[in-house]
Amino acid sequence: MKHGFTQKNLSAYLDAELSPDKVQKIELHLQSCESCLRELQEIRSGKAVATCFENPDWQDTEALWQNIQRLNISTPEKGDVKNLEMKRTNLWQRLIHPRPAFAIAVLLILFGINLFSNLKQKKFQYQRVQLDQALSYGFDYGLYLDALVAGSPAIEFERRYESQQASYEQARSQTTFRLASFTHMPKTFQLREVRLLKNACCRSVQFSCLENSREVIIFQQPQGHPVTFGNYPLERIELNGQMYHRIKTGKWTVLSLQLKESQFMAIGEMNESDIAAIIFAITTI
Amino acid sequence: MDNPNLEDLLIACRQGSDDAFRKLFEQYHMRVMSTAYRMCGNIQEAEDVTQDVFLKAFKEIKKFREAASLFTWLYRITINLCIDKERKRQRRQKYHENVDVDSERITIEEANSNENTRTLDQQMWQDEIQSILQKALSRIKPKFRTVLVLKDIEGLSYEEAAQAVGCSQGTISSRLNRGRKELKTLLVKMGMGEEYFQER
Repeated sequence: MKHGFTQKNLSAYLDAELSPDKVQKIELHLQSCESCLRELQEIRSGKAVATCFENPDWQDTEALWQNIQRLNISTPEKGDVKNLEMKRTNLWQRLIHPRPAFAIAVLLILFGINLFSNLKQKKFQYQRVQLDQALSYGFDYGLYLDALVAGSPAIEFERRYESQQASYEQARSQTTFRLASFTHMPKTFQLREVRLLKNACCRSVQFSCLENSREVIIFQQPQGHPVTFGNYPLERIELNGQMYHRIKTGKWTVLSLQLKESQFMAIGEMNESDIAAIIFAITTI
Repeated sequence: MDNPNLEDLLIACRQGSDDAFRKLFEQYHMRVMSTAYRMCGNIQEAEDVTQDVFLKAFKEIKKFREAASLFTWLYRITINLCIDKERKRQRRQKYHENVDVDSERITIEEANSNENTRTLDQQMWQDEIQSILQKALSRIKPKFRTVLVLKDIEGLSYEEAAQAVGCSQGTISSRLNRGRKELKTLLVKMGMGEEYFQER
């Protein structure tokens, strides 16, 4: 018999709440354990004194019932029971009450949507400013190609970039890069017109030429300024060790070539030999 | 406890009958009030707790199913509300056990030394003893006090007490050991005479 078992069950033993076999075990242990016997005596004394408690005379329990009735609790779902419970709930419980919680959730969602749309709007505004700035600092040759493809004059291109007819000498004096000389061009090639183009930060030169009686426009602009061709897909091509980019759309071809000081764009009806001739002419400036 | 009409009473209460609630109150309010008084230590708080117990019981009676354990359910509500109340009170003011025990010792010793006390006013003497007993009981930790009140004062069986407290009968026995020993120790410290510790 374990000492702990007896000690734990001494009250149950005193109150005759144990089965006969447990009683027998405890009595056997008590015969040989003085500390458990002392413990039993203490507990017995405590139990004895607990019987001395007497209830006070309750004055008027009818008043208590009247008080409960006054609180109108006889219908549990209605009236003051609910109010009473509400009074007892603390601030946190009120905050997480379904209705306020739902309202807070809706407000948060609306606030989130508003914040998101503002950010998105700002982002678009920022992007538009960036695009406008980029276009004003560079040249969008896609506009020119659009006009060619549509068979209409390049009004949009000319509206965006200030254009001025100039002599070759005037163009050379007003640009910061070495101008193409066209001295090595084949006999089929003819320079007809030179125009100076201007954007927000630099000047570009537009050469209107005829190659085999077909019009070819060559643009030359300084390096380090952005160039776009709209959404026309670019091909990267190598010709005699020289890398260039090409766009082919319908009968039109665009040739883009980057040199040390400047970059060239040639737009027109060009076949492979025309392209080769133009590249040769440009790279030997 | 073994009321054959308990099930009917419970059904009527669930249906919101005022008469049924009244009967339920009449049947159990003394037990609830007595337990609350032993747990809280004063009549005003006991009445407040009793009111709250029945408010809560009436509100939640629709969820309650087992008529057989109705009175242990009421005891459970009572005990929980008393313990909540005590926790709130303890937050406001700490126990000053030692000071109180010393002051009670003087009262008891003075009373014992005065031979005329018992003869002159037996009722006053009884009131004084009851007050001392209640003060000693109030100083026992709530979990031990609870089983002492339910078993030794209210006369519940181990099974009923275990149901009301929500623990095993073995736990009731071990908590009773501790509660009874503490009660005796506190009363001895307060100068309670040996005659009160004899079995009757």
